[in-house]
Amino acid sequence: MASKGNLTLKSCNGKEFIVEEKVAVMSTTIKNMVDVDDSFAQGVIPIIGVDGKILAKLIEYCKEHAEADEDEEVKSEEYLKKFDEKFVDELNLNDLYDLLKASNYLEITKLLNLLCQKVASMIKGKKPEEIRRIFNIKNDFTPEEEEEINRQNPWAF
Amino acid sequence: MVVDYPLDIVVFSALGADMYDCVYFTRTARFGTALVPEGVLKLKHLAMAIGIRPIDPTGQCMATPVYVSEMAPPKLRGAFNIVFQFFIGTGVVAAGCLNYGTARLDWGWRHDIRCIPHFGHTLQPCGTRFPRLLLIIMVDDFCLFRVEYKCLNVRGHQLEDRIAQLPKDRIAQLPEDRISQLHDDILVVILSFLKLKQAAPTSVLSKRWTTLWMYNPRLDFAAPKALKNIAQNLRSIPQNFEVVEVERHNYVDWINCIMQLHKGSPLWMNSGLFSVQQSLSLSE
Repeated sequence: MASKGNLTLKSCNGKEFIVEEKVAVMSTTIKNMVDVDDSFAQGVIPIIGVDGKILAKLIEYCKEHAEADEDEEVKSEEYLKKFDEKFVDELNLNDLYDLLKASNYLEITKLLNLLCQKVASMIKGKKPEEIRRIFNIKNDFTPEEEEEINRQNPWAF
Repeated sequence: MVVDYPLDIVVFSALGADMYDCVYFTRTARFGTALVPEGVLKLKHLAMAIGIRPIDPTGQCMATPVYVSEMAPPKLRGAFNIVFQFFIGTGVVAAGCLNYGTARLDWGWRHDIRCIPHFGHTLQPCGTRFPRLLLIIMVDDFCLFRVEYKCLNVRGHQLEDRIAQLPKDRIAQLPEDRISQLHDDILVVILSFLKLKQAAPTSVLSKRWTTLWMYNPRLDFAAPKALKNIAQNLRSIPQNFEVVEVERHNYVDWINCIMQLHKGSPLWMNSGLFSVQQSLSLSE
C-alpha cells in the first residue's frame, strides 16, 4: 500500500480527480480496494455509476471531514456541523438521490447518515399527500386498498 | 432539430430542449397550412373558402386586428382594436393565473378550464350596431370552446402517450419518483431517523413503501401524547387511575401490534418508560 500518497479517482463520465489518500479512504469501499490490491493505490480507481459532478461533491465532503479528523483545532466540531448543514441545504432533490446512492455504494457512512437525516427531515411531520407531492411518489393503491392499510396499521396511538 | 408535428414541440420541451431551429411553421405556411390552437388548419380546403372568422381568433395571429378593422364601422375602428388588445391582455393574465392555480392538479379538467378565457371574446363586439356580428362571434366562440375543449383533452392524452413511448433514460428531466427507486437499505436508514409514529404512515405512500417501515432497526416507542393526556387527567381528578389503566392497555396493544408487524431485527429500542410514576411526576 502506497503510504500517504495521492489517489486518482475516475468518475463514470471520465473525469479524474486526484485526492489525498486520507480523503479517499473515508470511503470504506475505496479503503478496502486499496488495502487488498496495491495496484489500485498507484493507478486510477474507477468509481462506477458516479458522475463527475457528484464525485466532486463527495470529495468536497470527505476532504472537510478528513481534515477535521486529523486536526481538531483548525476545524472544530462546530465548524463541521455548519459545513454539513450548508452542504445538504445546497443540494437539490436529484443531487440528493445521486449522493445517497453514491455514498451507499462507496460506504461513506457519515455522509449517508447525514443525507438520510435530511430526507427524514423532509418527511417529518407531513401528511402522506404532501410527502407524495414532494418526492413525486405515485399513489398506486386503489381507494379500497388504501382504506385497508389505514385500518390495519396501529400508528394512531 | 427536426420537428415533424406541432405536438413534437411540446414533447421536446418536456424533454428539456430550450432552443429549436424550427422551420415547421414557415414551411407549412408557405403551402397553405396554418397552425392554430385547434391544430393544423388546411387553408386550401373548400371549407376554408366559406369561413368568416379570422384564422386564429385567439389573437396571437397578426391578421386579426386587420380583420377586426375591416368588419368594424369606420368610426369605431380604433375603439374595436383597443378593446381587442385589451381582451388579449386580460386573456393572457387570466390564462396565466388559471395555469398557475391549476398547475398542481393532475386531473383532466385542468386542460378544459383554460378554455374559459375564450368567452372574453364574446364580450368584444358588445355595443356595436351590428347585432349580426355579435351573433356570429358568439356562435363562433361557442364552437371554438367546444373544439378547444376536445382538442386540449385529446392533446393532453396524446402527449402522455408520446412521452410513454419515449426511451426511459431520455425523460430524466420530467418529475420522476426517484426516491422509490433507491435501494431498500437506504430507505430504511431514512425511516430510522423518524419516530415510529412518523415512519409508519409512510406505508400508505405507495405499494413500494408498504412494508419498508417494518424493517426499521430503531424502535422508538415514546408516546409523549399519551403521557401528557394522563398527566392532564390526573391533574384535574387526582387519584383517578382509570385513565392510566386505559392508556396503558392501549399502549401495550400498540407495542404488541407493532412487534408483530416488525420484520427486521431491532438494534435499538426505547421502551418509552410507561409507568404510573412517570405520569405522576409529570402531573406535578
